[in-house]
Amino acid sequence: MYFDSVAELIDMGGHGPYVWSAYGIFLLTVICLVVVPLLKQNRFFVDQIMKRKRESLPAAAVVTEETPNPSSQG
Amino acid sequence: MWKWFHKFGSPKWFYGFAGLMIPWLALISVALLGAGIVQGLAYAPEDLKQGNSFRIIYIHVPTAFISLAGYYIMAIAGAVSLIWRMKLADVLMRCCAPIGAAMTFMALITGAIWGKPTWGTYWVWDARITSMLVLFFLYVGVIALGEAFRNKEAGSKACAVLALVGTVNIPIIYKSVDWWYSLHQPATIKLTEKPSMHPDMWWPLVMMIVGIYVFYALLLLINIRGEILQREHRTKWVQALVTDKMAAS
Repeated sequence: MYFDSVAELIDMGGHGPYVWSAYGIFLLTVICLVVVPLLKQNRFFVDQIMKRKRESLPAAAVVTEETPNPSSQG
Repeated sequence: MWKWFHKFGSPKWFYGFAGLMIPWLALISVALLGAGIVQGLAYAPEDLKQGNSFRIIYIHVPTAFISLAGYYIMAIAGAVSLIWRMKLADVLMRCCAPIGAAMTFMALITGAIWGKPTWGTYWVWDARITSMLVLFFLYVGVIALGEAFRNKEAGSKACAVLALVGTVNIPIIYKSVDWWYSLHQPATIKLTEKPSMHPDMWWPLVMMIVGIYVFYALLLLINIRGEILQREHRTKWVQALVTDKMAAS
């Protein structure tokens, strides 16, 4: 290691806050760039599976689920 | 040759191909970026004039490089989708925009942070920095323009034209440090010359640059796969994938 101790590595001769914040922003952005599209892809499959499950329900069940009950509307 | 071109343009084939490539690209980019960061932060010697703040170079230069190279990829993909109406080229162009915007954002932010201890200010309106900000707005413009159209095909055409017109900015960014008086230092790395840096400083930078290119390819493939699924969700092969996922869950 170029530095003599971990404390020196963190301090970086007074430039620590600049260097570490730049690397922090970099890492955070990199993680988001990977995680967001993967979550979106996962969401796609979940939505498709839900859609199929809804379509495979008996017609009567779907109707009662989607039409509001007239008696409850005052 | 044409057979290959057609195969490459098939969304189904590309989805499978990208799936095979992703683990390898992930492995290579983690290894290169990980080693580059550790070397750059802890092992590279300090810069004589700039002290330790120069260590920001290991993320600033690679992200700046890829934001420029990524713009070319986006513009070329836009041209291909305009001329040959290749579906996959349009998908590629759309996926380049958010990744490029994020890379340009990182280059600008790390540059601003580096500017404070080195120049005494976070921001100056000089040629290099302003033209990079224009690049960021071009990327954001392509994203916004694509979202603004309800008709996807018309949106793609508009995006491709904007991407192509915006390429005029790229040589300006490259040459800005030579054409105008600037606080920004001229290029540290030239392909035709021996590096002026010490090898211990130089190698982590090379690792980071190669690593970020591989990482960019990885991000493109992940995003393209997602976009292909969305666009092809009515096709038999995507529905077969859904059936597999359903069985697995």
